[in-house]
Amino acid sequence: MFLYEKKLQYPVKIKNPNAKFAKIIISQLGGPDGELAAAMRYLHQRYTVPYGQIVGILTDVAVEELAHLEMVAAILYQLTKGLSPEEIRAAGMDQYFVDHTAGLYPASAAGVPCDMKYIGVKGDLLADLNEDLAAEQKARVTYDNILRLVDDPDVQDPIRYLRARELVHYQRFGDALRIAQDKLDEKNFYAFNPSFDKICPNGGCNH
Amino acid sequence: MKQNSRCGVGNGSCGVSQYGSSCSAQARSGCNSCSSQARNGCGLCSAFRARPWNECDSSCGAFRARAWNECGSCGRCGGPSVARSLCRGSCGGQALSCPLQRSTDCGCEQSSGADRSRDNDCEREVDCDHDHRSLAMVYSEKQHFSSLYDPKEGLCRGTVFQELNKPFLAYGRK
Amino acid sequence: MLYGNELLKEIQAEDFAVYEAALYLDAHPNCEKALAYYREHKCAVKKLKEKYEELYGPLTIYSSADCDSWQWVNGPWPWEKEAN
Repeated sequence: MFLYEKKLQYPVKIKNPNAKFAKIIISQLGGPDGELAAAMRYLHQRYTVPYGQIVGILTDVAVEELAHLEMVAAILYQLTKGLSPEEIRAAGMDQYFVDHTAGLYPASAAGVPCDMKYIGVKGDLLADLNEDLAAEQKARVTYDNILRLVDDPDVQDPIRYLRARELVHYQRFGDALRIAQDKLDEKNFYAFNPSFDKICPNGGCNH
Repeated sequence: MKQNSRCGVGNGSCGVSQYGSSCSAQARSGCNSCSSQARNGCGLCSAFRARPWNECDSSCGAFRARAWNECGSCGRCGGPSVARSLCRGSCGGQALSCPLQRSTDCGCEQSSGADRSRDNDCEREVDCDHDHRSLAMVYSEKQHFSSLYDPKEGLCRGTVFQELNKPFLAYGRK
Repeated sequence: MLYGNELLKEIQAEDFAVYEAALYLDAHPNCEKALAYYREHKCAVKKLKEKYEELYGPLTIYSSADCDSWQWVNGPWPWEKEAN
């Protein structure tokens, strides 16, 4: 089950609201490489993984992505708190405002609502881990791009932190891949799908 | 009555009747003679026999098909048996290549005297003479638990591991 | 109610060390160094959290015991500036 802790993983304290920045950063809330998609991807992939260490990695990274989702929400909340409709219109946020006011609706910077089409759950251990490696890289690039576009140090600080976490996750998925390789036959990793086919070496089953 | 087999839909009830020596309908596991969808550990599978998934050593009849693992004496696998792995016997039909049991002995222990035990898997392993990498696969360097920032600096940088600190530099600062 | 920002930052730092160690241990469960590090920082953060909760209220829903009133619903919430 999920336990909520009433604190952010890393502090977010933004002095100056700015709707233009919010319009960009919202992609990490509901965009294709954002934290919500990442959390959903890992949470759903973990159910059919037959190796405990890899389930652990997927679960713990997923939970951290939820914590990051909350941080991104905190950034957006503080960037839009107290803005007047005139300021919102001047920032070009009026189209979002009409449907969502200053609520935080998971969508991309282009206005596309978050979509499960962004995630893959192939049910094959090696395919899913490769997807996860790619996902962390794409998230990193999105944060790189936010750093290019947003020049407020109060905002850059938590964004920089979130970007660094993606790299650590990338290493962890690399570790997961290594663990998977150790369990499989190096002469042919693709002989079967450990997430689906039952494997009973020595008379015992993994499940 | 078998002790620890849950055969069928309910808690111990094998489909229609009690499980044990003769199970009807959806006998799932641990049944001695299971009809229909006998799944596991099924010694003698009658009728629908179909899918003995595991450990099928007896004559699995008709649809035999999917003897997946440890075929051993798949002898009677006949037909389109698709013995996938570790199949030593003659599995007929589409018997795929039976890869060797993954060997952990690459001879490195002998040649380098390296301790490749799993007891301390954060330590650096001595390089093995053999290259275990194969085509159509990507490999990841093993990280060692060393070179740490203190927690406050680690939090600030986004990682406690110095080796994983790879900041983005291509943007301007105010 | 003022949040103990400095104390919270200490907790965030120690919790972060614990989580980094936990993620590492998922991939390297037999690493003694990582286990020792995990234990050390888990112990440290436990004490800090007890102190924090005594002064400022619960961090999780399970810590609201021993209170005369239900403090869980009190602000500020983590996304608000005052909580950071």
